[in-house]
Amino acid sequence: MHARCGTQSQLTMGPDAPDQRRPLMWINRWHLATLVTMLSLSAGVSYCLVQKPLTLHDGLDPIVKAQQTDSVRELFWDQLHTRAYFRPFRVVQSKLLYDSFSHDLFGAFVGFHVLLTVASVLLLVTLLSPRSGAGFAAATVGGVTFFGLHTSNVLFLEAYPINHFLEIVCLLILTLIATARWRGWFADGTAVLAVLVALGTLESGILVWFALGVAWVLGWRGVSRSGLVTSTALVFAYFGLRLYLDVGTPGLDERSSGFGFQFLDPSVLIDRFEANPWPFYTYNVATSWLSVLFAEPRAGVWALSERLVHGIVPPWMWVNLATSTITSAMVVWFSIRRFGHWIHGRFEDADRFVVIFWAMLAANGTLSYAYTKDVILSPAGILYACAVFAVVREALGCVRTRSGIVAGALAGLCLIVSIGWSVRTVGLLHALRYQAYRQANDWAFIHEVLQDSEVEADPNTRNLVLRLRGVMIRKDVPSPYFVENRTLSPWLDTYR
Amino acid sequence: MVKQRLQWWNGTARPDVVSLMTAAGPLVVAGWCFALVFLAASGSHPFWPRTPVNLAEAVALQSGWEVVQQLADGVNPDVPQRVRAGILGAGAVELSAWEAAVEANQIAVLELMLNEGFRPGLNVAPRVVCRARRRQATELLSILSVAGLDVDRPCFG
Repeated sequence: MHARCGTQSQLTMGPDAPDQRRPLMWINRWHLATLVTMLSLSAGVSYCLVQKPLTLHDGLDPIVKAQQTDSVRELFWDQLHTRAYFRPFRVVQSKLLYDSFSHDLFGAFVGFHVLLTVASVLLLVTLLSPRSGAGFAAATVGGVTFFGLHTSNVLFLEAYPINHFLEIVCLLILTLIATARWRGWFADGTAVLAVLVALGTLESGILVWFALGVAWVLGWRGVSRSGLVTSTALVFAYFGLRLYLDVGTPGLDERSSGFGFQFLDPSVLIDRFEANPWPFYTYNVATSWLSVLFAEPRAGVWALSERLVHGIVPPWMWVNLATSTITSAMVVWFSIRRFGHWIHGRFEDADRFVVIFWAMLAANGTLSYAYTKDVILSPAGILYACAVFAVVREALGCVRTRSGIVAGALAGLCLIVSIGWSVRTVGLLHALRYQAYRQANDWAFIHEVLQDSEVEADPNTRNLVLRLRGVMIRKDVPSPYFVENRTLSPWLDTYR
Repeated sequence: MVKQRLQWWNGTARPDVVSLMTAAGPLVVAGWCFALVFLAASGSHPFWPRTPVNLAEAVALQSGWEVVQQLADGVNPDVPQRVRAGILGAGAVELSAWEAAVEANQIAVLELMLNEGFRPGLNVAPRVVCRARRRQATELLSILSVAGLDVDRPCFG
């Protein structure tokens, strides 16, 4: 029951097993085919990114800060003294782009977003390294899982003006590549640098170190012990600095959060949970876990369940639920099959992908205790895509070696999962179109922003905002009224 | 054919067929993405279609960015324009941008046009006010009143 599908030789050096001796840029035809497929997907996403305006809300503030601060150093020190969040590298990156490309801010920020999108795909393919037909098929399913997963949508839908969540995802995969595929000083340096940048960019950056630690324990030891110790020292320094600067953690008053069937404002959250916030924190952690596995609830809100109780559920919600549930069931199936090996410390690449995913899901969900939203779960989401790769490849291996109803059922599940995630990836592209329209409109209705004290007080800032607005409203975005397809659109999660 | 299908169901078909079928979905999407980019490079944007609208239509559809764009380009919001069928009812109608805002109850767009520094001209203002009163659009009327329009004047016809 717990045996792998395949011969013993395939087990020890299977068609997709890693070869630690290979050079950095090792590639084969299946790897190349996966790369071409994934680059095509990222080209489609990038095409939409180039066409759509930057995000106004949350996106303008870093640009204004970059404009109002004289130097990178000044901004860095300023960011060290913010409350609840410790993200000194976050706005600094915007400042560097602002100073370097002030004549074309839209081009700079969108260019960086496209760069991150393409990098995420290149890194993912490098990590998966498919080396067989089954591996290629599984990797393409992993790819559409990455693009189609709801935790990934905001990675592409929003430019703040830099999407730091996408940056964390890239750093996470890069670190795993360093320890799984590389070795020596280059692997150590890459991992340490990735952990450093991630820690200074977002709170979820700590997950990069966590993934490195778990991967190392599971036997991916391309990063040396000293590399791991240095990364861990950085984490201690990070917490020490947070304590020294008295940064604190987000409280209930920080922002709205989903609870039950609706979003609750901070004032309501305080009323309900100030005396005892633990039920709220537990709810956030539990719903974060469920969200990755079942696509329901989303950001703490049970939207599908609510529609089921009060009205008609749109088809896209069923697509999301069915795809995620079937895929998660396959991951559980794989985990049960392999659990006996894990207990005895025997891990292959596929096992590592799945175990790291479970560990990341637990950690990422726990880190979302204060409030939960889809994009916060993107680190668990990318590792879910890696786990899907491992599980689909395993299932295809079973189809090859088994016969009868089991093989037929596994083949059917692989097809359903593949089609489901492909539909969800198309949904992302449609969502980008809708989001473009919404964001262009945000820039049109900007008068409240112009009345903001920071903008109103400084003529240079006001001119900058109006200059950006002039660029954004010239983006030709399709109107949903004309592009809405009554047959197709209800099946696509357009993130409206 | 049936026998072949049964063989596949029993797992005796070549494994690469199943792998290929599994990869088919992502490959179709990837091919579509590639085609989009290829067509875009040649100047065609089937996935990003731009349907030209006039100012009155942009107002009725709440396309704020198109409203700002056209006002900046010098389009006069007082001039009646043809709003195509389906946007403000089954038939096509001819309205100024102000009237279209009232007809579609686009309060935000009306405020947007006022914030952009435009006011209904003397020839169109009575029609806008009377249309708003007929529709009992009190919020629109109060906005028009703040903008300096006489919203208490009698309406005939």
